[in-house]
Amino acid sequence: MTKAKRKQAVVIGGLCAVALAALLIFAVQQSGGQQKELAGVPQQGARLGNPDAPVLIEEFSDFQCPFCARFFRETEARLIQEYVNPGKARFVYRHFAFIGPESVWASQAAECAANQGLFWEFHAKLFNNQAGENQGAFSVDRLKRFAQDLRMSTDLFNRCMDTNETLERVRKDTEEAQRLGVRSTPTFFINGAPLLGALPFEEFKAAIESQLAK
Amino acid sequence: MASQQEQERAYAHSDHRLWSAVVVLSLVGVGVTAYLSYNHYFGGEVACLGGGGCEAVQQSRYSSVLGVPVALLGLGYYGASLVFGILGRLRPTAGTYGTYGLLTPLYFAMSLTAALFSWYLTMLQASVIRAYCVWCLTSAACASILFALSIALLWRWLRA
Repeated sequence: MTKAKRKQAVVIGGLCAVALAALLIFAVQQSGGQQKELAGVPQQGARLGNPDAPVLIEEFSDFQCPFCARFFRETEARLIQEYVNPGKARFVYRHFAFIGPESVWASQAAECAANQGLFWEFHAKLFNNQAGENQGAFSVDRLKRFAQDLRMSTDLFNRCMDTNETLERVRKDTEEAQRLGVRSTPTFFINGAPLLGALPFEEFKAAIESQLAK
Repeated sequence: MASQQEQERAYAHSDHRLWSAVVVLSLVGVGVTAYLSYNHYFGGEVACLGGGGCEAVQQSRYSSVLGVPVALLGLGYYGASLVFGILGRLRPTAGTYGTYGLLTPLYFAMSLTAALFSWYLTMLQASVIRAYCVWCLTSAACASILFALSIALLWRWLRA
């Protein structure tokens, strides 16, 4: 191979390599991105989607529960894209904060974020930062830092946390979960029909389609 | 003045050493990414040497690309890199001709992709996830050094 040819091979190889890296980075951003699936979806606190949608998906979840994080990572975005965005379903996140004090604080914090219209961003932040249970991952100080990271009004947020402004909302949800007989997280109700665990997307699809067919 | 043959032999000798380094680092990379991939599929806590952060990183939404765990992509790269390293060591001379002629530029291209991608992932740990995982950083270091080695190999290949 002549020197000129070798140089040519290097340039072509290098360009292909850079293009492939760019493609990979783009793919990671797509699958991990900052809640891109929420763009344009009506939000009201922990409620997502068209209020008139025929199917209601309720999730009872604890921010410290690993399987809830798994559902968030693997299934939630797809459910939102395929059912909530087109207006076929609405999704409601409800608190079943039972793992310990940090579960309650995290839920309170998410509701404080909801006061600023940032519930979903905050819930993503929480699930992405899970680490052990009641070991400081969701200490009040850390939660305040999350709010700062998300560029929320920290004055409002800190006051909300310090005065337990949203504790009652979290308690109400948790009591409702107990009343409904929820024993584990995540527990889902698809138009009232229970679905337990971080199941694969297909299971949700089947449950939702059967409701849509009614 | 050194004869053509002597020169080739000298090149072959230091190429051999560079490829040996590739083999060693690839083995480290295979170990780390195999561990992380195993962990991704079969659960269990990641032993996080030197302080937390591993779970935050492993469980972040950025830990997989279109359903494929990033760790598995890494395993694929280090596995291929290992094969390249072994082939490079087997190659009799620095030869720029023949079957192995494109080994070096291919290896350079592959390592460039891997290095760029792993720098991006390190940047994500720093700025988005705000947690570091020792295993991921080890892998990023391996990818960076392998890239440097591939540049050295490429340099020699271009000048040979």
